[in-house]
Amino acid sequence: MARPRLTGHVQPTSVVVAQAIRDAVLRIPGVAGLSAGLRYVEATYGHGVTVLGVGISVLEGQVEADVHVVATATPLPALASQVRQVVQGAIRQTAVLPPGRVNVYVDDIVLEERQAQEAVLP
Amino acid sequence: VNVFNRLLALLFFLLVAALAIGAIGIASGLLTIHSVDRVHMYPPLHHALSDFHTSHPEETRIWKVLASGAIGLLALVLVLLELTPKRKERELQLAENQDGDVAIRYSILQKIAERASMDVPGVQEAHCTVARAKDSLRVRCRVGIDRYANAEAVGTQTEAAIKQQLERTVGRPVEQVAVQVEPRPERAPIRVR
Repeated sequence: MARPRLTGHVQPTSVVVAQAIRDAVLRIPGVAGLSAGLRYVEATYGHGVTVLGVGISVLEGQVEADVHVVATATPLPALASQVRQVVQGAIRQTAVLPPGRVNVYVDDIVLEERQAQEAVLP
Repeated sequence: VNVFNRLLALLFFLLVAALAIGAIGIASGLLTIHSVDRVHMYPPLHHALSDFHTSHPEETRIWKVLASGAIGLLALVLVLLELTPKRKERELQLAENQDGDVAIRYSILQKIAERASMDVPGVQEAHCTVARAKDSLRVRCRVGIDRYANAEAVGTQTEAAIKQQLERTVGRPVEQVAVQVEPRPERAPIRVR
């Protein structure tokens, strides 16, 4: 249940899965980044590695994930659905157990800069 | 109806607390039956209070005081609980099923509404709050507009912009958008676009 990493340490599978989820989620158009969470820190910890914004747990023989994202101004239900699919795919690729519930938290949104040029006069 | 029920509950708990305090007074002897009679003479009440005051054996007095105190304390706690405001929801659940939850913070909805307002020509500042109303959303905004802008037109455009942007981004219907338009004071900086 452990895979070697380039750092020379052996990382727990949870970290490998979390890293795969993070990399996959960050490739989704509409995801500006991952958030560490607001009320508490959501992270997966390994030897010298912390994957912020992704929490992994195993419940009833399934891998469950909590993912905190920073979105751009896109329809959020569709984005959440896409994040869920990508996360489930990443779990299937990296974990032995099947994917379970995937909770998606939109912690912040990045809105585009306003198009019009503005000047403020005193 | 909810407010009426809460008021009734508050009155009931306060009445129980007052009766409990009175019972403590009567049982302990701090409040005499004669004093009660002076306020309102009612023979059945007089007899009931006399029976309650008379303690045989003597140690039942302390139990009466303790029981009344406990009831009074419980009533006061219930009053406090009723008066405590409900904790505000921090997140809107967009989905909650066996596949998992999708939650979005209300501060994000507020940000979206404020940005939609600011994109309306004439709007110079906006402060919005977004709340859930069953399956839809309610928005309240206070916008500061250019003092030379048409307040009615800007208000209408702002309402439409907020509704459209929130429904597009969140996928929930917006039931109501209330916009309060305030022309900015003469000495405020002017934003030119």
